[in-house]
Amino acid sequence: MANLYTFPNMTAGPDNVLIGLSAEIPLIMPIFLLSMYMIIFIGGNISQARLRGYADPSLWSLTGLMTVFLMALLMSLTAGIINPIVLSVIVSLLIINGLWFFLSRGRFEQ
Amino acid sequence: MGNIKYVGALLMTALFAVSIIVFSIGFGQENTAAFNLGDSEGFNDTRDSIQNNLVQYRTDVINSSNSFYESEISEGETVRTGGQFKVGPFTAYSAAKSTISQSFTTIFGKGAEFAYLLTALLGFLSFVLILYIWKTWAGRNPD
Repeated sequence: MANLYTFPNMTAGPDNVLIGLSAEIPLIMPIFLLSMYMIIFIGGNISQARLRGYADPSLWSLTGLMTVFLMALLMSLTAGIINPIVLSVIVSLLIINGLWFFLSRGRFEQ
Repeated sequence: MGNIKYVGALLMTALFAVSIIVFSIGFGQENTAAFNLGDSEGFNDTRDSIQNNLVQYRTDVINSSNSFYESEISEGETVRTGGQFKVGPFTAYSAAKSTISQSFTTIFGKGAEFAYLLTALLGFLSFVLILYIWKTWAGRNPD
């Protein structure tokens, strides 16, 4: 049966599966991290708006980026899973999001 | 957005940024990661720059604090020296500083990696303290 890409070696451990996938499809991990961020960001905003009547996008964006950042750190332990530039971009976005988050806070509310 | 909120937001952003960078570099080094943020000169420079800025911020707050303590209001319907407004909060600040320092040392140890966090936080507490004394004394609103 023809496959869209060459299967990684499944018997060499989970790390090798991820490395094989990344080698075959370089965008797979960035897309995975982006989907994680979008799930948290959109899901959090919609849930909060439904429950409280308002949403706090800077908070949910920061939550999503923190999650993605920690996952990217774990992926950086083994060479070949994500590109170092991806980690740098995530940290940069996290810092910019931090500015947005802190400037949107009230003194004591929320 | 008042003075305290604005400065607080910028300061917290700086603390957040340098904490993320230091944590990321430390995580990579301790776990022998394939690569870490410390490999990038840009992030190392940013970390050093922010840390220097935080130390300078504390120095500026100390200088401002001393000059504020010596200051007087020459006109208006208020107490000229404002001594009664200044003495209590400054003493309370010293007590809070000792408490925070001890708690911080217990949690983070006496290493230099996180020492600037305490430095910056104490500087910010002094900054807020001065503005609130000024608010009580002169009747302005820095919030």
